Order: sequence, then C-alpha cells, then structure tokens
Amino acid sequence: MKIKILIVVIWSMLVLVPPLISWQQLEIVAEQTILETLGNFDSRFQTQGSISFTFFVAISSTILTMIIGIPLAWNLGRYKWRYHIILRSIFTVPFVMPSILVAMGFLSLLDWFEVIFGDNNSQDLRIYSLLLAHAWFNLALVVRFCEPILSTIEESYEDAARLLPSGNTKLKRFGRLWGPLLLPNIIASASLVFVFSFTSFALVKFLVPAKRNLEVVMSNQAEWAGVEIPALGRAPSEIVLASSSIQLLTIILALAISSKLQSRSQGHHLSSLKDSRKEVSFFSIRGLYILMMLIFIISPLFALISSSFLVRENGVMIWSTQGWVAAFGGTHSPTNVYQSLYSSLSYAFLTVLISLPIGFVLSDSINELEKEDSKFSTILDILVMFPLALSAVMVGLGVLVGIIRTEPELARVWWIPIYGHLMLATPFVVRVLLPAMRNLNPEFEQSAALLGAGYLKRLMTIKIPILAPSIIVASSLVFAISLGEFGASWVVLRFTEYTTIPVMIGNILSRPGYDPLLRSVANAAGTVLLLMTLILFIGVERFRPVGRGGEF
Amino acid sequence: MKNKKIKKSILICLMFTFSMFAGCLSDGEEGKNLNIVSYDAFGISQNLLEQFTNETGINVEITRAGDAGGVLSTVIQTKGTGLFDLSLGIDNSYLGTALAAELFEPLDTDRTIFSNRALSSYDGNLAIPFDVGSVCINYDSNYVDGENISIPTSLWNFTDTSWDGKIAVENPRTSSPGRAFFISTVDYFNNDIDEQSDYTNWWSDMKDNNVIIADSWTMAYETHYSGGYGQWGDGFIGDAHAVVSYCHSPGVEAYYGENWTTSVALNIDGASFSQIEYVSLLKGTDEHLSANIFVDWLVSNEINSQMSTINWMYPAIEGGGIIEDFGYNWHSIVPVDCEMNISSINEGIANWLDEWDAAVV
Repeated sequence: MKIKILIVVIWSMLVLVPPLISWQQLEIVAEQTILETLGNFDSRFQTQGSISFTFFVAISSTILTMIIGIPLAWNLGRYKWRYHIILRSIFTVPFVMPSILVAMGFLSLLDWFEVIFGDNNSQDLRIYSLLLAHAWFNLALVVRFCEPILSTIEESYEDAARLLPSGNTKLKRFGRLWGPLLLPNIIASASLVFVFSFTSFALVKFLVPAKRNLEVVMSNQAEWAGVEIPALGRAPSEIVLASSSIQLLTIILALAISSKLQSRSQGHHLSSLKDSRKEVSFFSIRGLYILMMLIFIISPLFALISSSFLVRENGVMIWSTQGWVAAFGGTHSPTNVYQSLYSSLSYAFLTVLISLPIGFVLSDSINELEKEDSKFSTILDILVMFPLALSAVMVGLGVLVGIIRTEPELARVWWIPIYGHLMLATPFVVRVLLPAMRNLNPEFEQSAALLGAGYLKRLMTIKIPILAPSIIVASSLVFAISLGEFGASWVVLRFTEYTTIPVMIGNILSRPGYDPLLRSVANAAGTVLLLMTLILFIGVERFRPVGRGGEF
Repeated sequence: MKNKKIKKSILICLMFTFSMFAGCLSDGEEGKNLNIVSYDAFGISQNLLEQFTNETGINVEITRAGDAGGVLSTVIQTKGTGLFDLSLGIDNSYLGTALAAELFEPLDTDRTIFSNRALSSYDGNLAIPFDVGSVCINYDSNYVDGENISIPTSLWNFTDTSWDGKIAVENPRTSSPGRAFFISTVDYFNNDIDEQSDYTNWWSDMKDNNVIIADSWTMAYETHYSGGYGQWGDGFIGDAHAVVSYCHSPGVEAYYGENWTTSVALNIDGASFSQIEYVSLLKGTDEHLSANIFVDWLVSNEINSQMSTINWMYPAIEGGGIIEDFGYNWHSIVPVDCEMNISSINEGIANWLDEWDAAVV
C-alpha cells in the first residue's frame, strides 16, 4: 500500500512540477496579468482570432469524428469481418502516427485534389481538410471506446426490444436501447477527441498556415517565453501564460466530464463474455461501406509512402529509391534510419517497462477509490490525464528551467527524454487497464485473501494473469505511442545521439528543401515508422479478447 | 507455467533494453567532447564532422535549437552551466542582445582572414563570423514578365494593387529572415526622402494590401512562393509571387535546377539586411582549447570556402565566394544593404516589434 501511495505521489510530482516551474518563470517575466493579456488577444497580430479558431476547430472536429466514427464502431462491433484483426489494426494505426507525418500525408492528398479538381488552396478547403485530418487521426478513439460494448451485447436483447412498441423500429431501438447504452462511451470518447483537436499542432500549422490555434500561438512564442531579457520584450511570456491558462481550464473540464462518464459506463450489466457479432461478407452494402472507410484511412498513408519514392529531377518528379538510400545512408541527416530506429526502439522499450507498472498502480488506485465511492477517484483520474492538457511548450520550459536550477548536467543524460514519452503514454495505460480492472470479479481476490494470500501473491497469481491480455494491449499501445512521440522530444534539448525517428524527420523537415532528396528522405523514414507500427498492432490484436480488451 | 513465461519475457525485455542503452551509458568517457548549440538548418554534414574528429580527436555533438533566436534563447537559459561550449548561428540581428547579456568569452581566432563584409557589424573576438548572406525580396519573373508589371524600385511599389495578396513575408517575431528584413524596413523608411511616413505606415499599407505573413521561412518560401522549389512539393499554394528570402536563394534554385530558375533577387538599395552568422565561446565552458581548434577549422580556407554548398551562405573569409557551378553565382546578388548597428537593434527591437504588431492587425 505504501508503494502505491509513493507511486501516486511521484506521478503527481512528475506531472505538476514542470508546469508549475514554467508558470512561475512566466509570471516573473510577464508584466500584464492573464486577464489583461486576454483582453488584448485580438489586438495583437500574434494572437488575433486564435481563441475562437481553437474552439471552432475542436468542436467541429469532434462532431465530424463522431459522425464518421460511430457508424464505423457499429459495423466493427456488431459484425464479424474476415481479417477483423487487420481491419481493427488499420483503423487504430492513425492514432499513434506522428502528427507531422499525418500532415504530410494530407498535404500529398491535397495535391491529388488539385490534379482532379484544379484547386487546392482555398481557405475553406484547407479548413475542411484539417477537420477531416482530425477525424482521421481520432477515429480510433471512437471505435475503441464503443466497439467493446457493441460486440458483447447479446442479440436477444435487441430481439426482445423488437417485440415492444417502444422498440419496434430501428430509430426507437437506437433511442431506447443503444443510445443510452453507448452514450457514456460516446461522450467519453468525444471528450478525448475534443482534447486532441484542441491541442493539435502540426496539422493546424501545415494544413492551415494562415490560421493559428492556441497551441501554434504558444509554439511561436516558445523561444522567448520565460527569458528575462528586456530587448526581447515581455509579450511572448504573457501570451504563453494566457494561452496555457485557457487551454488548461478547458481541457480539465473536458477530462472531468470524460472521467465521470467513464466511471458510469460500467453499470448496464448487459455485456456478456460471448462474442455477439454476426458474420458478414465484404460483398454487401456494409462491405462497401467498410471498403470506403479503409480507403479514407489508407489514402494519406499511401500518399506518404508513394511520396517517399518521388524525387524532383530537372523540374519533373520521377520515381526513385534515392530517398530510401539516403535515409538509410544518413547522407541528408545527422543520423541515419538505423541509428534513429535504435534510439526509438530503446526509448519505446524503456517507456513500456516504466509506464506499465506506474499505469497499473494508478489504475488500481482509481479503481479502489471508485469502489469506496470517493471523490478522489475523479481527481486522480484527471491527474492521470493531466499531461494531455499541457502544451509541449509549458512542459519543455519547465523541464529545462527545472534541470538548470538543480543539476544542469542532467539535461545531457540519456534517460531525460523518457520523461516526455512517459507523460504521453501512461494515461493510455490507465485508459486500457482501468476498464479491465472494473470488470474484474472482486470475489476471486476476496477468496484468495481469505485463504491467506498476501497482496503480492494475489497480484501475481490472480490479477496479472487475468489482466494479461489487457496488459499486452496496453504495452503495444505504449510502444507505438512512444515510437511516434514527437512534441515533447522536440521541445526538450535535442542531443544528436538520442535522435528518434520522429525527431530525425523533424530535423530534415526544418531544413530548406532546395535539395530534391530531403523531403523523400523524411517520407522514407516516416514509412519505416508506419510499417513498424502497423506490424506491431496486427501482431498484438489477437491478444485482445472480445469486449474485454479495455476501452482503448 | 504461465507465470514463468511472463517472468522470462520480462527478463529478456529488461536485458535487451539495458544492453541497448549500454552504449549511451559509456558515451562521453573517451576523448574530448565539444558541445555545440546551433540552429536546425545548419547544414554541416556528419561526414565533415567525422573528418574533424579524425584529424583532432575531438568529438563534436551538435544540439539543434530552432532558429538563430532559439540558439540565443537556449544560450541565455543555460548561461554559466557549462552545458554547451560553443554557440553557432547567432546573427547580427541578435548579437547586440547577446553581447549585452554577457554570454561569451573571447576566442583566439585571427580576424585578419575575414572579409570587410563579415566584420561590418562586429569586429571583436567575442563573436567570430563564419558565413554571411543578404536577406531581401525575391520575385517570380514569370509573374512580373507575364503580367507586364514593372520591376519594383521601391518598397512602396509593393503596396500597389498589382501586388495585392501576392507577396509573402515572414513574421519577424518567429523567423530570423523575417526579423532581418523587418530591421531593414525600419532603416529604409527612416532614411528615405519621405519624412511623413515610417516603417509602421508601410507595414500598415502592406496589411491593407493583403500581405501574407507566414510564421517561418519554410512556410513563406515553400508553401506560398510561386518561384521556388516549393512548387514541386506537397501542399504548395503558390499564391505569392514575391517572398522575403536570401539574395542568393535564386542561385541555390539554379544550382539544383540545372541553371534554370524563374526566381530573381530584387536589388533595392537599403531594402536588404546583411545577415552575418557567428560562432561564440560560451561562458562556463572548460573546453577552451578544443573550442578554438574547432573555430579555426570552421573558418579555415578548406572548410569556409565551401559554405555556399555546406550551409547555403557566403563564406566569411576574405576572397571566399559562391561557387560558379550551374549558375549559382550568376543568379545571386550582393546588394547595398541597410546600415543598422547591433547596439541600435538591441535598444530598439522590442519597441519596433510591438509597433509592428499593432500595424499589421
């Protein structure tokens, strides 16, 4: 029990200390109060229109993701497809792709749009493509949250509903049966989609260059935020302070709603362990729909892969493997793909090893607090999800200032980048393990305790074996998230010897692209990452039991 | 049985992970290490750095920190920590601020080897120039010739309707070339014959003429500019027929385009900024000797004369120029740049930027 409390305290410190340091540093530099800065938001070029644009994009993206995602979750949850494992993997992969690569994929698609329709640069088209990209990115959240319930509700309940006057039409059954059943999961997933769309950075920056959301505004000011030099002005610190405050408040509210609704989503008792899905063929209307969704998901990935084989030569684009040769040879970047892959895999392994026990203990603590009906369960759940509400700018500044104030040489230590990976991955361990723990029959543990088994014995012989499939799923998710982690690694000091593949791609893309090979090299490195992630998910999917694999 | 399997898997994972990091743990214990903070786009290749290491036994580790401003910001935040030995890429638009913050220690470099242009902003031993290049407006000759538009001879020409929404500039708060060009506009309008208006009026008129203000050079040049390499890339918009870039950018385009480009650097006296990039020894370092050896290598004739292909800039050494291959030099110009000293920039920039913010809203 003491270890549990210790881990909860350590996690709280890891999550809270860097932003608090940033906050303090920004307060020292800023002259205006947060409210004064907010009052001037629309009269400064750097921030003009950013608040309304952020909310517009987050809300619109959430609605669009739900419109696309719920029917997909229904078709994956209620019907059994051939190659179901591969299908689920493909629909999950977008969520763990580095957003910088997604942006490149969608930009390639826009070029195809121009070839077909003769236009790709209207502001409206760019905004639509941003919303679609957010839906593409977050679709997995809706599917993973809704699919487990849909796949375990026995057909007999729907048959029974059909006999009743209030359930004799599809619409009525949706309103009376499926709607109430799914609503908590839909709202919980919508909250997370809102959070990710609200904090979106690379997609906004590249797809809609004429607009800025709060994350882009903060990133633009990152260089000078917290730096006490009068010649550099105080505006950057004031802007980051005000923007991060709005972001934090909004996202904590969204996460609180999500947490509350998730804890309520286990109370319907209609789920069974039986696979209730109906077999269906691809040669049907539903099959056509799934095919269309597959095209939607695969298109940007395909565009990315094909771009890696396209090289500019004498004013025309030709098919070539030069980009791949350069990516593996390291001629156009400080590290080659082998070295970056080595770093990526090392950090991903280590992230899994650390975040799994931390996530396990945090889930267990939330679960126990929920059983006691304690309000602390919601607080701890929000604390778990808190890193997702933080801007990479705030984390980066806090880590840098914190390290310099304590022990500067720490900045050069190889394990410091793991911090960013842990902050991003651990919330997802909890999102996978917590629902599985809620479904555990408490009688198993109670009986073992009566027979004299201690906590550790119960953990090793009951909890871990029962939760093994969910632990494996969580591991794969953490591994994939860590492989694709970009934002936090990018803002913390980037030492060449620890360059991961996403950081390598960022390095290449931040150089002027005069050299025709540069963009192909970045796309080739991105394709390696994409294929690794896809293989990983397909490999692990078979461990996910129907309806019990957690909500993600 | 199952538990044994799980334990075995965990053990294998642990052994694998720690063996992977064994290399990292032993890093830094062999030979001398020189830690440099530079901007992202600094183009020196790993092969050249390895050549330096083979010749001197000094390992070079480069940490990337955004653009020139990012380098300065990192150096300020890590001042006196010894985390970095050298900074590479702080330019003369930031040098006044860096000198005022007392970040540097003197280097032993022989300054007689540099061109007058390289020493024009600062001629001391706290910051040694390694490359130079002027920032000015580039235009797409396809548009100017095709639409029969006169080549601009004054910055005011860009407020005409023929350039409505067709010029892209970089945000001076977020981009180094943008900041350099912005400083040149302050000087240009302070010294022109019109005493009624200053740079804020021009920027305000440009805003009314729908100037495209991009957050980075890459966004302005690659996404918006119709005359650059961006037209071959993903997400190209091409709505701007003029852009703020380097006066030798058309030369680089020609170098990679087999001596073909439609991009032309605009030569307007005083409407360009001579950007000089410096390498500096940072306070708190113990690697004085290694740092001096590296700087001497960087400004040696062998390495510095290659700057036009290593880093797409002019060499800083006397007699160093851009290579002639594929019209690189032919398509590049060295204009009459604005004259703004580094201390004036340091004293005025915060106020100028605040006024710019208000002018372009």
